[in-house]
Amino acid sequence: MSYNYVVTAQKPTAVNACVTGHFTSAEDLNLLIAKNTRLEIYVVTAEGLRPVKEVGLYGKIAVMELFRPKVCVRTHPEELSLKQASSVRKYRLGLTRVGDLLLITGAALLTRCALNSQVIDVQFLYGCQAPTVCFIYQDPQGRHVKTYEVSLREKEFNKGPWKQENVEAEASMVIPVPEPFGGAIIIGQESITYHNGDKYLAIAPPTIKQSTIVCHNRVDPNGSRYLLGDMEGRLFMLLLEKEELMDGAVVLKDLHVELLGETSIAECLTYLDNGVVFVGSRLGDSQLVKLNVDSNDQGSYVAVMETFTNLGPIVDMCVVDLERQGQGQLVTCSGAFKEGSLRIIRNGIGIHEHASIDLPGIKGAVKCSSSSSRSTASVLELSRLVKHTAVSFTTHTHTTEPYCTVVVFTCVCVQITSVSVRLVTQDSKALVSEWKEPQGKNISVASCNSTQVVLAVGRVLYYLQILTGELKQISSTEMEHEVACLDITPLGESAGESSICAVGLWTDISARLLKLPCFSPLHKEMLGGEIIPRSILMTTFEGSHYLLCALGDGALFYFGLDIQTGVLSERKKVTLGTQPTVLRTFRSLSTSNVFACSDRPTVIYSSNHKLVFSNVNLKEVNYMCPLNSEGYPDSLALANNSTLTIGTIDEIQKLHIRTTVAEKEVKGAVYSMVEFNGKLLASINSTVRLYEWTAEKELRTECNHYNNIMALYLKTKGDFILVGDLMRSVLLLAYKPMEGSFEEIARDFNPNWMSAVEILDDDNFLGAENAFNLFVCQKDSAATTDEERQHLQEVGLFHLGEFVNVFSHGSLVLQNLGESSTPTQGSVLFGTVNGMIGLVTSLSESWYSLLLDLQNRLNKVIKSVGKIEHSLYPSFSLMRSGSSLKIKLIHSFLTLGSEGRQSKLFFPSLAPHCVLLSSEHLYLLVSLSLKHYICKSVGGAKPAVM
Amino acid sequence: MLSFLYARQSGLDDPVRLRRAESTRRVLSLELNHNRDVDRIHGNGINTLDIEVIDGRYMLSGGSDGIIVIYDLENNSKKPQYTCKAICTVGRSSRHVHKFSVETVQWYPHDTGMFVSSSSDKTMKVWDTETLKPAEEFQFDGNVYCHHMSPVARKHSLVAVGTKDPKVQLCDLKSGSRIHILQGHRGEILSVRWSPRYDHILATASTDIRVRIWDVRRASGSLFTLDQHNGDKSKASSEAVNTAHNGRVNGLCFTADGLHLLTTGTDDRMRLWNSGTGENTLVNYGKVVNESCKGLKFTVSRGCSPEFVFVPCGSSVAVYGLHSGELITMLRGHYNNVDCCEFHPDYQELYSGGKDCNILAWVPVLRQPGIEDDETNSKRGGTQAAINPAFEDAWSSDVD
Repeated sequence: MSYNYVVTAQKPTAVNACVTGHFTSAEDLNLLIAKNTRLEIYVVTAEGLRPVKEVGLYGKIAVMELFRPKVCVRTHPEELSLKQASSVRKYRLGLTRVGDLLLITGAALLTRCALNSQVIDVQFLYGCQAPTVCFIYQDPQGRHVKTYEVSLREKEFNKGPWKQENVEAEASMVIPVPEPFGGAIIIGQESITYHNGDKYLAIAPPTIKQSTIVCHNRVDPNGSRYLLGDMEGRLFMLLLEKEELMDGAVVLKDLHVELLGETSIAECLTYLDNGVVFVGSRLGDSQLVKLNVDSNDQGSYVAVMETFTNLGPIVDMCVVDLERQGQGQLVTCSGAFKEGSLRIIRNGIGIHEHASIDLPGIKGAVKCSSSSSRSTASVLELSRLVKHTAVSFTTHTHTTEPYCTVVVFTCVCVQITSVSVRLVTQDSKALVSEWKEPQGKNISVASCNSTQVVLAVGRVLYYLQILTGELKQISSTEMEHEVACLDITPLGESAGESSICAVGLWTDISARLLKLPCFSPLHKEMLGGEIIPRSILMTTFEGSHYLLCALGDGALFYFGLDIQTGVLSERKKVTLGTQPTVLRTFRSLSTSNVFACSDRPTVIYSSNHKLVFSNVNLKEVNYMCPLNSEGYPDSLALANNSTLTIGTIDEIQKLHIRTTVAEKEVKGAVYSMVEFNGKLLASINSTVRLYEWTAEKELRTECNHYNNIMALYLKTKGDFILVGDLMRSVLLLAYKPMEGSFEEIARDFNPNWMSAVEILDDDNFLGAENAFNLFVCQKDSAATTDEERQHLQEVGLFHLGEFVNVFSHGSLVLQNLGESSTPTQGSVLFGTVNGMIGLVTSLSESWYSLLLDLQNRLNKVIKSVGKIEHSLYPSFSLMRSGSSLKIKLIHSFLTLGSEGRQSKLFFPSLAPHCVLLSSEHLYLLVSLSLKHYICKSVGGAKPAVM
Repeated sequence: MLSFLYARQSGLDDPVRLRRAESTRRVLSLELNHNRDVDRIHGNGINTLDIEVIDGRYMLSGGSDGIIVIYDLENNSKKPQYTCKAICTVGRSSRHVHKFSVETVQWYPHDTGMFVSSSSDKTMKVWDTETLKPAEEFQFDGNVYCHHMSPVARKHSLVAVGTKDPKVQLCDLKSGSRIHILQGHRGEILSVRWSPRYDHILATASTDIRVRIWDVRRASGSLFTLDQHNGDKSKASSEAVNTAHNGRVNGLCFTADGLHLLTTGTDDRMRLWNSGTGENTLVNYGKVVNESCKGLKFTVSRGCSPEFVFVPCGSSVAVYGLHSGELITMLRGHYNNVDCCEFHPDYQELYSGGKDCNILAWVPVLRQPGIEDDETNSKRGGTQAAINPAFEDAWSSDVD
């Protein structure tokens, strides 16, 4: 039996709907973005969009509208209504509102209206006595516009005030126009028509004929301007020109359409404020654009302010290991039409190199601002073995004699050399104060922050305070062994002063925490082994304090740290590299990160209160320091033995590549081609055909297999071939090299319309089908009868809610990362239409039952949005029974945060349905999800590390 | 096809669209295929067919000889050519066999372990598929022409039975008793059908040329009677008010969504009704030859766009556009009158049974390698354009 675990690596990124309004409170202007099964809520601020919340739904969002129930206008902000689309949508769903009346259209409307026709679009009209809907429908004669009044008492539709038969054949949208005009605008392929019963006005501007208008949004509340977006990504403004009549009535005079410029291909548009428009795209990156009053050189009024990465639709992808580091990178074919691109997705962090200097013998790298008033102007000081060089990126270069550490402190800097600690003014470079070890011994290690210095001379620790113009020794102590590393990074709210000192010792290989200034021991942690700690660091991630301690062999211990008592907890170990590791902190996007310099440089950060280790695409880094200068904003300076490199951390790399392909004509449509035992295997319509490459350099047909309806997908493993059929699920073939023929081994007889297939192992086969499901089929080799052997048994079903286009073996995670290996085997990545990337991996039975039990219990605890039951979700399309795998909730569980988890799980009084999980289980669960979170950092709109 | 596949994988189209388009293409290319045979077991005419919906694998047939046969439709031959094997038979040697003609057979909709048959021997039998023995037997006073179980009901397990008697009987499988009688018709009941949308809605057709719609939760009379003139009294003579046809109504079929109801009558007409309002949609199918004095078992497609009706018409099966009324093709192959046909929604295959004792399988033509797509498309294109211009648009791009 095989048990599989499905996990999201990258949430859907394609935007299907967006809406602006006051949702989180009456004062907040919110932008709500629907991404298939997820809903993101943002607040629109002067600085841009600030994410508020992201929720997952057990359903796909088809249409989204904001509405405010009349009863509670004052107390409640607008509530959101979401319409779920079942997997089989018979008619286009519509959702429209007027006041507190919400209209949900679909097949039901048709029966009510007794129409044998298809409703194209439906909207409520403004300014009518009774609520009135206006809709476009299609019957065999063409498309027509009709209005109906909604009788609230009888709950029926009555004949409305006007109708217009035979509008344009491709009329697709109704835009209701608010008062004073009233009526509706009907958008077609070639024309735009205004209609309100009395007045009829049509224009056919040539600019809109090029493409089809697919979305619209009202700009002004009075309805005089509308944004229109077409399938080529062009943005138009539709203007309603008004005219005041003699009697004071305002009527429409004319319609104008103006081309504003080009954006991503829009799926939805929403006008935020101050000329800023959110362009939601399904086929390319979503954008935040500004509409300018004046056009730029290209005649465009549109300026892109921000871009939101979208990987969808992922049409194809593959995992490659370009740098041969044992770590995969995913290359996806993303986007469609003009938005088509190849994108490289890498777990880990890419450094984009801006500059590099060859400087042999670099021993350290330290940032210092040359003055506090010019905070961006930075000087980078580098210590070399013989000469001391400082490289300046602004105007001046100076050479001094620093050795160890330099710290900025309001126009004064501290230089620690092997012989002394010096306080130097920054502008004049004058020495203010100097401290030397009484016997003139050399300083071995030191650490300082803006007010304190702790240094070690052999076994003796000294604590100095930096006062104005003076260095003052406060205390000293002698340790049992020689000090190997030190840290006094201030944590918590202590504002630049640390009350704890972390020390790593030689000989007994321990990490200790000492109280400052008295050096009284708080905690002693034996690290074990014989490798000395080389770097120790205290840091805070997401409000939790940690102590990190890196050893000389590339191993890293990390602990939870209580800064009041100095007690360490939750000891964990990972291996980052093989060389001595140096830890450095840097900040990006107001989150702290740690850079571990070694032969395999790693960035450490926290996601959902778990530490995540991401590789960096550099070979070796010995020292690193953050840098923020005019020339190199938000950069990192990275040094190895010979070179200093300055670079910035990349987001997802995006490449636009055009390729040409050699053509060869084949009869029929070739749906799939794979290399197979040195031969070419192709599926041509219903045939699977094996071609041999002959000595005459021709493709010769070796054998055929005909028993398919349409063989769309092929995957191979050894001599086995898995065929995904258009509508007859999957088929397993074996190639007989001796006979030169195919043999049908087994078939899944369920009528699944396939969208992707993959071979998990010799007995298990993974498929994705039309109705957004994943399933696993199993070959029953032990079956007694021929008939049973011929049947692939469906053993697992999972409703994903996403259309999978491609499966690919591989992983984005380094397999050796982490001390405890996760209890999973193998991994298959999948990519979907909406830009989601996920992972399917195998579990043992005991793990499966544990997780299933956990899921079932979580079901009872975690409330779903919109009160849509989790159990209801798969039933949309899963009609057949079977042992189903739907471990979806576990992620919600992990995002509860450690405190939430504790309260939910360990206090039965709070949550009666909870599971009692041992901490060991919890840890394994977390590490299991690590795959998920590591991948998460890779991608999307907000990389965790910048 | 490639354009549909591209639109599906780039998310431009709902995945259902490709499915509907391909299903439609397949229905339009139905033909008698030498790759598919069905075992010939019956020695007399075949009255009724039913394919179970759970696996779509087993088919029941009932013949005028009283025999019931179960076929396995699955292809285990590992080759495209195969014969649907009869896996078991309630033959003349069985002591439980129906004495006279089997008029209707139907699988229990939720489990293949049970099926129900009714016969002119005045009985209706509930069979255990495993043992092929009746678990229950209902006796009636007259010939049983038809019965039907609701395909959607979970709350009740009522079988509606139409007999020589004008009263429609409701038999409860749970208690094994006749629990209810629906009174209103004045002639023999030739067809009964439950709505596939609501589990309490039942349609009945009778020789009194009327079709009644019932809500079985209500004790009093029918909900309404279908009126071919939509209440326009001037068009009908006084006795023809509230009639569905001008001849015996012998066939009923709901569309898959339950929104419409099709009826056939011996006036050689087929009518499409709005099943919610009872309104005649006035779709004109032309002359649908109907000489059957008993019930006529016809069917509609599922999952296509537009949908089709398959109705036995003499010795062929006529295929109409459901909403257009256009005759699309006549499937010719039987040597004698066809009495029943059944559509397989998973693979768009049609099975028909007739008086020539044959069950014929109508299978869509495969796209063979080497055969140009254009040819099939241009051939079908003409018919398509007339059905739905919107669809035709998408289709023409296929040729490119």
